[in-house]
Amino acid sequence: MENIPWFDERPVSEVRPGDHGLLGYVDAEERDRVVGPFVRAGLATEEKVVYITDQPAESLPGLERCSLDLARLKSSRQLRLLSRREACLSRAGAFEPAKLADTLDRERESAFGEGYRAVRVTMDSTWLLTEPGGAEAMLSCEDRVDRAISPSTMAMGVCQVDVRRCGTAQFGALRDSHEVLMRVDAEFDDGILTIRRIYGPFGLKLRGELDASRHSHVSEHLLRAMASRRGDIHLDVAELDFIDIGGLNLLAQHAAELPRGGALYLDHLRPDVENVITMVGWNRLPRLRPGARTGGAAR
Amino acid sequence: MTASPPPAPPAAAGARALEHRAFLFDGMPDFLDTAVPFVREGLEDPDREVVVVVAQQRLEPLREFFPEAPEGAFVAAETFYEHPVRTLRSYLELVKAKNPRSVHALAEPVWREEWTPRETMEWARYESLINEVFQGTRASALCPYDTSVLPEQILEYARRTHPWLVRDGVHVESRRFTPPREFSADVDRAREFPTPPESEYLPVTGHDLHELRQWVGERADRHGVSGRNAQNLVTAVNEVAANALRHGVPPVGVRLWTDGADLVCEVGDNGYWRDFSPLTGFVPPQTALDSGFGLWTVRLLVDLVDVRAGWDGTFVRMRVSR
Repeated sequence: MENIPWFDERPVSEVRPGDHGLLGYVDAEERDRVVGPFVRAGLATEEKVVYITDQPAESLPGLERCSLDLARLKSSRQLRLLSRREACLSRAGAFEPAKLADTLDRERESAFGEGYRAVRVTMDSTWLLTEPGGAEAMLSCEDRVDRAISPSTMAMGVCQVDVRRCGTAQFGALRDSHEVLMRVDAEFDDGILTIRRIYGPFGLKLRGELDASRHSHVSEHLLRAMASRRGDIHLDVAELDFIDIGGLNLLAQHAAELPRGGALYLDHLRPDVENVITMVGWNRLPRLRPGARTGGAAR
Repeated sequence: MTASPPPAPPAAAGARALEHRAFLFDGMPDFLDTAVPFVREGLEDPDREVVVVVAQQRLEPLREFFPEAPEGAFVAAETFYEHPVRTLRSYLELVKAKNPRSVHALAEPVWREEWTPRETMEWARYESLINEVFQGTRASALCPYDTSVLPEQILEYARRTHPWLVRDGVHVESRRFTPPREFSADVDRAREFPTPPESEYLPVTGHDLHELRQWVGERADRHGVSGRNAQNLVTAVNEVAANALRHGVPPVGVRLWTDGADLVCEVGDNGYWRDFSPLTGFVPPQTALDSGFGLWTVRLLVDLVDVRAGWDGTFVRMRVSR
């Protein structure tokens, strides 16, 4: 997922009306870090949130263990939890694309009438993709969903899909029918260096230039990532234009702190950056390893 | 071939120490008289790995004696000796890769007539560093020096950088041998630092080196240094400037000028580098976590690095060819 062109991707905080975004997640944390901010940003402002789900509000990303008054939000209709049966299933329990499109149109219109400046819609579609014929049914309705959201000046949608369960081939087909890919917000961005957590494989994406004045930020986020998972950590450096020698030293230091047998992989190294590493020799960077090649599949 | 291999230097009982010998020869027959038995000795010893790096003109005549020897064991010196710091690193990798077999090398450094005395001195320093870097290994190196063509200065370097000399099959201790640290200090003392007639200067005030990298990159491009060489210079200057900001004393600044075919970039600060040693950044560190990794990498990245650590400040001059 990490070698898709940058312009297709959008951090969740930059989502805007008309966006019909797709979130392919490989990990519950990744889902929560996109859907959570998406939902909370709507509720924190004058926007309506429509969540199509059979789960109770208290267990949804962004709403569990939050300080919001969920009962009040529901009664004021700012938070709309629609069951799948209400939103998109026939009486017999089969998925009905036309009903989903009608639901979206209706919710958007009523939000407008209720005075909300925008409406945010989200649904986890993994259940549909894992049903027989579900993928075709879902693809057939994407056009109508797109028509309900894209031209709108007030609607935004995020389709959630668990890539581990639906498979990369189905996810690929789905990706083509969405104009925007959702991703987690950067953890650090000073205009020179951007640090963002990635999930497939797990680690950080570094973009821009890494030098001495930014070592402490990389260190902080790398240590956090290492603390939250056991095993290997991947750094996607496809868009890292520069790393200083102290930066290599820093990465080697942290690699040495990984649990026994773990390694720090540098994925999609650019030739200019790799040149410095080849010069000093990978053997001088213990437990730092070359990972996936540019353009290749993540390992 | 009647000559017998030169007698080995007296070694301590048990472990074999590094053997680093200069072989002073005069003409091809004299060369072969000692080189052939030396190579044969290594080939016949199962504990040794033979590496032959000699001048192109001597490569074929020597190889003819060993038709059964592995192809990769014979290398033209012209391709191996290109950059002293990089060659030393490659040589060390080679010794490590062959472990537990010990390297048995016939290693003839290249001395080019067009070199400045300064460039020649850096290669002499390389020969001297062999004694330091390989001291813990059981490597055996015989370094041929052609007395019929090499100037006396280079032969004098050979005597100062090798603890043992071999001449006419006779093995003698070199009375002129100078320990590496002392030799390196002598090289440093012989350097000159002419002030450039014209240069550009950038004061480095903040801790963000983004602007410095752009400044150096633009000038490298303007002066005909491009691609990987430019990138390497930027990385090297960035590292030295980061060190100056961290360990030095303000003001920190970068001066840049051209000198004939070279582009020179010098980072200076007002601090006194108290524990600077003439070997700093020359001995390859084991890992990136060792001290000295930064300066060693800087030395790898550019053609020549000169560190001047004096009472008036610390100056690191980096040179790349245009």
